[in-house]
Amino acid sequence: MKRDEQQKKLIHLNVNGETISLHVEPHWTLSKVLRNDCGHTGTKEGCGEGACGSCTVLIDSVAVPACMVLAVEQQGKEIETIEGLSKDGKLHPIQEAWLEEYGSQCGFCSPGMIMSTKALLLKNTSPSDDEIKEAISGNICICSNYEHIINAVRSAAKKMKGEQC
Amino acid sequence: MIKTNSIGTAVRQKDGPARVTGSAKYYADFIFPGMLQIRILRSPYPAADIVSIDTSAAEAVEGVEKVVTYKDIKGKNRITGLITFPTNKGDGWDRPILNDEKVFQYGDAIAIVCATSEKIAKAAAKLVKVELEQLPEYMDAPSAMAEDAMEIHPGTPNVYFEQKIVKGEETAPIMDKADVVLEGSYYVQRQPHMPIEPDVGFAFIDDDGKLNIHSKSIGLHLHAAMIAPGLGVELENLIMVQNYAGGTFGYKFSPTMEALVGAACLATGKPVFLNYTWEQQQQYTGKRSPFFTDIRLAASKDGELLGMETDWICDHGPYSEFGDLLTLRGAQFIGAGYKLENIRGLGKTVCTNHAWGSAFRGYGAPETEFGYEVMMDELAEKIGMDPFDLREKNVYRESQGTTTPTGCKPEVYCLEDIFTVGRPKYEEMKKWAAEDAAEGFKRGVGIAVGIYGSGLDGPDTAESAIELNKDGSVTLFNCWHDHGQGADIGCLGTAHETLRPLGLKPEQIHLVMNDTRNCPNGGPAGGSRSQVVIGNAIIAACRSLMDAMRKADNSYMTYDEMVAAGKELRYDGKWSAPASDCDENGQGSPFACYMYGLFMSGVEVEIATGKVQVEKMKLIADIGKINNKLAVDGQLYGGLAQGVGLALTEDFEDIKKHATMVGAGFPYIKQIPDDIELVYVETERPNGPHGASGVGELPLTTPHSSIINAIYNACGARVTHLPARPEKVLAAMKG
Repeated sequence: MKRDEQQKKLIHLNVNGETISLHVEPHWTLSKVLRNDCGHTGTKEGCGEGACGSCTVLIDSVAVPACMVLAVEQQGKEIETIEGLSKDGKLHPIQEAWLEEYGSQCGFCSPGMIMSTKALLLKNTSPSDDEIKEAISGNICICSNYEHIINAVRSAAKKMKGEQC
Repeated sequence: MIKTNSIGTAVRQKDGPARVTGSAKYYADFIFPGMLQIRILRSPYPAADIVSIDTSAAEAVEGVEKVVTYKDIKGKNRITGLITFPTNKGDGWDRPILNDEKVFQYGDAIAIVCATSEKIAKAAAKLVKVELEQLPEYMDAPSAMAEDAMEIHPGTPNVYFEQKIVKGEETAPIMDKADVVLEGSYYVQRQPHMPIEPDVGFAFIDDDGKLNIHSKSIGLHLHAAMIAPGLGVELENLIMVQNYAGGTFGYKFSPTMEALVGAACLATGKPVFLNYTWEQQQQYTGKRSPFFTDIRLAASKDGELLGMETDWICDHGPYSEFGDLLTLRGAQFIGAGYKLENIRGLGKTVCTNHAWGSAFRGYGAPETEFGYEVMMDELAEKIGMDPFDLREKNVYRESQGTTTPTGCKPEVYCLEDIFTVGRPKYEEMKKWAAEDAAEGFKRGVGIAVGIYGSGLDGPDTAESAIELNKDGSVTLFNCWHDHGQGADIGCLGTAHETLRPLGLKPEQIHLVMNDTRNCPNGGPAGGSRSQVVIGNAIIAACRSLMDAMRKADNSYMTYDEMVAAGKELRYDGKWSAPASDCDENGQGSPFACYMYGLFMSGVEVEIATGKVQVEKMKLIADIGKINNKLAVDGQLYGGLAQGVGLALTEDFEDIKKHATMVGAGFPYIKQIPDDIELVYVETERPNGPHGASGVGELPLTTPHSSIINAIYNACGARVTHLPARPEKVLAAMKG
């Protein structure tokens, strides 16, 4: 075990605007570190091999499955997780839309799906249905609640534009 | 609709905010310091004798608390199917918690390594030495049924259960005389459930010395009774709890890791945590049992169904739990929906060495209804009738007093209405199909009728309880387990409607759910029974409370008035379905409520490759009165999407290749049609709570049949063995 301790490296991650300093092993994935060491269990881990999208977070505003990147490589980047969305007990417009449109059934995919939606709406405030599908094509919903999810993304886009006006 | 403005649109899932903010704690999110991490040593073979197990090297590793084997288990070390039918040739005690003498399927658990970290457990598991002597492997029903096949469980024949269907007159003379007799063989595959969240949970011993198991179990009381004797724990000393579950679709109708964490916790005396890898989820949880179905159907030349002969074989894997029940579904649902006065048939349950059979949404419906719904199209073609007209001509009709395959009248006759509503939708689909597809593609439309019972067979029973609180609110206590389907909104909607005279707002109805210490037995969340059976128990509890609160002038006492009057504050409710089990001939009235649907699929087939894209789906559904519209819509959308996977891609036949989401054919968003239309025909159910039936199974009864029929309509490729992967469609097209 001592060898493992020696292998650990001190890194500084910027997660939801806060700097977190911690020791990680070089092969630890960002999803494991977020969940186990940062307490951000909102980032769900499903397949652990990049196929399901449930661990999606934003890294410098790009949606990335956190199980497919190493924590040590994320220094100096801005990481945003589902925990960064709602502020002071107030839901983010995407989360509001998810609730209103019944975007969650079992809800396991929701945090990742919501983060992919945020990445989409950051660069495209009026996405077409095809663009919505493309943006969330790496996130699977086992409840296959896509009708409601697409409605939620459409509604979120409207809400966010309204807020920016 | 149940007339509750406060449900359906204004009120979401009670736990909705937790799910969208990431604060909902699924079991992998519980990280307690000091909890032992588990690694399961799994069998690399589907069938073998266990010669020896040596744990000494693994136990010598620093950080390893214990390596648990069958020797450490104090009870019978078996999980019992509990409700094994009397005519079952097995005794139901065939599934080891930890395999002792033999392994029966790939991935069977031989030892549990308990360590202070996952990393140590993983490394130490490699040091457990297990000597196995391979046995012949019977990986499907035909090979296990061969005359020279060894008994997989010595002493029990591989064909361990049979179920007849005998309805009406002898069918052989009918077959001899009929204008048309069709024969066909059909296969529905070993569909994997593929929840995104792999199986997970933990166990600990509480201050009262009771074993607590937290998991995704959707049958807490049932599972406690199934695993307690095997673990050697008295039932009253076993507490089971379910929290958020990231999808189960029925695989959790069987206990999975519950007995493993229980055994590890009892052997170490410490809290233990187990999270399957996704590969392990695929390889060591139950799957949909494949069905091989042969059908002979006799009809007149003008499309009247005269008689049917059926043989169905259910490959239930090595473990028998509920395999007899599933096989009975063949008697109950092959031919359901149509006037079929004369049926003869025999179903068999077969033990194999592939993945054991567990419940899967639709439980028996997609397996048994696939074949005859394809055959109805074959018949339509043979006699030159439109498939819609043929079906409409034969559906259950009140005027004819049509009976189900089990010889009872359905609880409502709604199929005529469904077809009336469906006709313009069908015409619309045909018009779409007649339009030119892009070059190299062909379009087609297919339909199918799907039916399923809402409940377990016979007098299915649930209990519920409600308590009046000091602030005038109420707390409802229920085991209405949640796969993710919306158990909370089901409880809330049903209670809110019943308690309407009290004028409570939804937020004044608190829910305590899914904990055997605090909640009465509602029965497992399977067979779309919860809304019907638990829903009725909730109504009974609510009414008992209101009866106690009611004053002479029909107003209601406050909490203080109740206390002053010395009245009880907590009331129980119980309900049993007015239904009877089927007899040896498959005859009876097994369900109080059914769900009915007419599925329509529009597909495009790429001629060069055989690749199928489902472009449109419609479902005309009668699930009785709707409790919560959004929850019900979500259920139907999801089930239809799983039908696309079942029809075209999903399988778990190749243990290695099908152990990943992509390998097992999980459909991504682009494979699911954008254009899905849901239409409701809300026939009030006499025995349904506020007129409701169930919903969850309906959308996965026959969506695949409609897709397969649409493929034929498009390009003349008749696929009878699922899934209809491109190469199969291509081969069928070439004839």
